[in-house]
Amino acid sequence: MAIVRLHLTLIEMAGGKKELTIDAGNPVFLKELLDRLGVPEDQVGIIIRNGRWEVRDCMIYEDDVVELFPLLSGG
Amino acid sequence: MSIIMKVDMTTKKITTAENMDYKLLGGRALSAKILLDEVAPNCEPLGPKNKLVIAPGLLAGTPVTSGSRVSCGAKSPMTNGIKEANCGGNAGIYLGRLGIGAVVIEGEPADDNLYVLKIAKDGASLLVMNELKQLGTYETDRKLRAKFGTGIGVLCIGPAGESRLKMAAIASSDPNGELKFAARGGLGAVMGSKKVKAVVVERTLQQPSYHDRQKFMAMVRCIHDEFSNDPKIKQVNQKTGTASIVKAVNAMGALPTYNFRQGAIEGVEGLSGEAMYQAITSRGGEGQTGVSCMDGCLIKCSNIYPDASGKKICSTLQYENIALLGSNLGFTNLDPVARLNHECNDVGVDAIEAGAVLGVAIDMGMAKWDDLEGCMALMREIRNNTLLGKVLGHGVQVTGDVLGSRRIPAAKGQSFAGYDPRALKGNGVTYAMSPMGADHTAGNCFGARGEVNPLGTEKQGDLSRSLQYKMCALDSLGFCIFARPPLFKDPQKMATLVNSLLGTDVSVDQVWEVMGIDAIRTEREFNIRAGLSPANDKLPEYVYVEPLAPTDEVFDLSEQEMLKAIV
Repeated sequence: MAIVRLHLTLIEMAGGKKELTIDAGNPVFLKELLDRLGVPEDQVGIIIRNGRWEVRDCMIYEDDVVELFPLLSGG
Repeated sequence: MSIIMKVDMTTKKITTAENMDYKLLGGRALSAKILLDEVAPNCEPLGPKNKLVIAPGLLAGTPVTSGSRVSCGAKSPMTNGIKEANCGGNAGIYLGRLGIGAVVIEGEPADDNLYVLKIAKDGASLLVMNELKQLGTYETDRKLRAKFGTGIGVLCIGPAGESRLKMAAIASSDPNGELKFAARGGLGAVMGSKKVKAVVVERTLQQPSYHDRQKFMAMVRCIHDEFSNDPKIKQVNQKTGTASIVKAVNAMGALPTYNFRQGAIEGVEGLSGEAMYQAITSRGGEGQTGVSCMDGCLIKCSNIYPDASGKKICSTLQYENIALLGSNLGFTNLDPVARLNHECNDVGVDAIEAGAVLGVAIDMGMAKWDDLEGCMALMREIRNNTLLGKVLGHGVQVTGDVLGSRRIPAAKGQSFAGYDPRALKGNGVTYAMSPMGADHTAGNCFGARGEVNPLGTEKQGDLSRSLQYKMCALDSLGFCIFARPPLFKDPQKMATLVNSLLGTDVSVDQVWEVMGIDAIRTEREFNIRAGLSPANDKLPEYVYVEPLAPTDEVFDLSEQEMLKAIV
């Protein structure tokens, strides 16, 4: 299984889901997962997979931990 | 806005003159030009030859949202190069309304009096106010309001500025009586060296003179509509403010933790924007989110953070301070961060630099991690200007040198901001290559729309360069960097504002050129003449060799990549 965590405005976009456990035995395209959740991909600004930066085109594999943040800018 | 007010603290004479050469310059760009034109780059930063420039942005005083920030500039005692730091508050608005492009404070009094510069519609004067000596910034602001009324903008220093400590900041009062800070680079020490405790600007209803008022206001309305229709303003900026990014920076592995020994901290949730919002809303009392830092701001990312009983501890808690005074010192709770932040504000020091100082001091055995009392004891040394306090108050480079640290998180003598350069390499480039030293506001690569891998070794130089001149243009116009989405989406908006205000015909390219690129080149020229660049365009050795957990990255960009960031 893989864990996907959503943050800030993405939670509301995903209908209140903060954390998902998904079966990624067959790797899952992040874009497809976002589509299923109803989160527009252009609203996802920062993707961290297993502690490292990722592109939106990435795949989620079994045992991955993925953190998704909206577009944010530093202060 | 081309009136330049000169305040000679040696003779106590105040003169004003119009300088049309500066017509297109405001804020940071104007400050840079005046400093290169008038200040010897090799001068002693805290001596009579240095000058403190207070320059509102070019659009200051107009009703455009978040567009009346005020720049403070001088040769920095911290970096020994040129420095600009800008802030909110209402002083910028009132200076703009008076048509003042810059106030230049120069010379040095021979006497021991402490002065307040009062600027009003009918002229400016210097008042001796020794009763303010060694007062904290909050009490200073209160006393000035009691004397001059609430309709004033105040720029003032605390005890640290009077003691000419290198990390002294300049405080600016906001519409709620709270303070914002032109914090970085020790500009409060320059103000203290002139023996100026405060600059008080009287509110006037006078408006700037517009070349085409109708066109200007139509553009203002267009920009304001975009802000009003942007759900992120309400859902993010006004709820969790800049603290929204705490968990994201932690997830990237770039959050300063235990004196930049780690890039993430266990228990980050307690420092997050979400935790801040929860505490403010559940504790009630004086706590508040969605607070503006200048009249007319639609973004309202400030807050008032209360204790468990609802009594205000500090306004405002911001990301950078949470990083440097929080995780960097081992805290995973916002209450001690707020207490330290308030103490920094009142003493009048840069909270980013102070967090870095305390981190190095703890690392060298002067206190413990997650130790509020130990940190407050060190802050008291700074307030009381003891020998130890002087060491700490001169910033992280001096502190680290004296304590024998080989891990000093600084570039050009100034502490890193809230991003470890090993896990956000673009900010390492900005820290090293920007004329501003390690100052994230000079070109923050965080969240660059997912375009550049923060751990990658390519595209970082170009990214930093582009952000550097664009941020500089905002600084010169007087805009807050959070106002950038509609402005960068259609930069013609900035040109239209400038042209309808001044009657000029500048293109978008000229906006970037004059207010961004030229200004940075002016700053770099000053630094080259000061001997600071290119010799000091680098990061401390440890970030090149010590891997940062959890990414295990070092700063490994080639010299060629770094050079791409020179504007």
